[in-house]
Amino acid sequence: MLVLTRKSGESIRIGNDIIVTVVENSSHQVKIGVTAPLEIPVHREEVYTRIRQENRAAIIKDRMWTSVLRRFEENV
Amino acid sequence: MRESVDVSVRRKLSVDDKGAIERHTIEFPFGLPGFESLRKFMVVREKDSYPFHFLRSVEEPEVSMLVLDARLLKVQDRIRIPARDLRKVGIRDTNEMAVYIILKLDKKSRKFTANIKAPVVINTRENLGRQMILEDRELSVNYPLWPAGGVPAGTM
Repeated sequence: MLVLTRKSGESIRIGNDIIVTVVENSSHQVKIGVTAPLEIPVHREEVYTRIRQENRAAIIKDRMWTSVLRRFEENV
Repeated sequence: MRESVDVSVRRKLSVDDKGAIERHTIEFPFGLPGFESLRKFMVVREKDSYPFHFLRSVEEPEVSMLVLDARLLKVQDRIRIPARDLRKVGIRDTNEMAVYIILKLDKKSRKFTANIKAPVVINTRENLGRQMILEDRELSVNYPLWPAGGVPAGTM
């Protein structure tokens, strides 16, 4: 990991198109601004990790779903 | 399921939905979280699976998830995709949009939950897709699809 020290108001440029700015810095948290092209996804890492976990757990591996589905059909 | 799924919407969709989305490969420029390198997916149906579809990777067909059209869920008005996010996949109006919710099967309880926190949004005009993680902290990654009285879902 590249570690740089920044003061409030200072920025870091990543590649050609991404700028990360320290907007505000207090004792318990840092407010970080990200300027990036609209298409580039920007996420809090723990949120992204959770979604990644959920997607992997959502993979349907076998035919088990068909009998469960049929039960749903009967109930709707 | 009776509580969570709007049956009248479902009947309407089964008449209107001529399977248009199923004919196309959808490009996911950033893959999906957990499958970042997979860029081509299709939304397909298996025999008798309707209203459920499968979001299946063209490149790795074992990467396949059960999905449900978000319009079928009674909580669909909580699944709000901001205009800024729609622009990320080039959607100019809602006629060009399809939203699918990824379902997860809990193997022990044999019950499905829906990830309404991170819907899959598809631009049906250009066949572009992206899973959007919504800001609303109230949205669950494990929204239950069984009737009221079941186990409460976890929340983000």
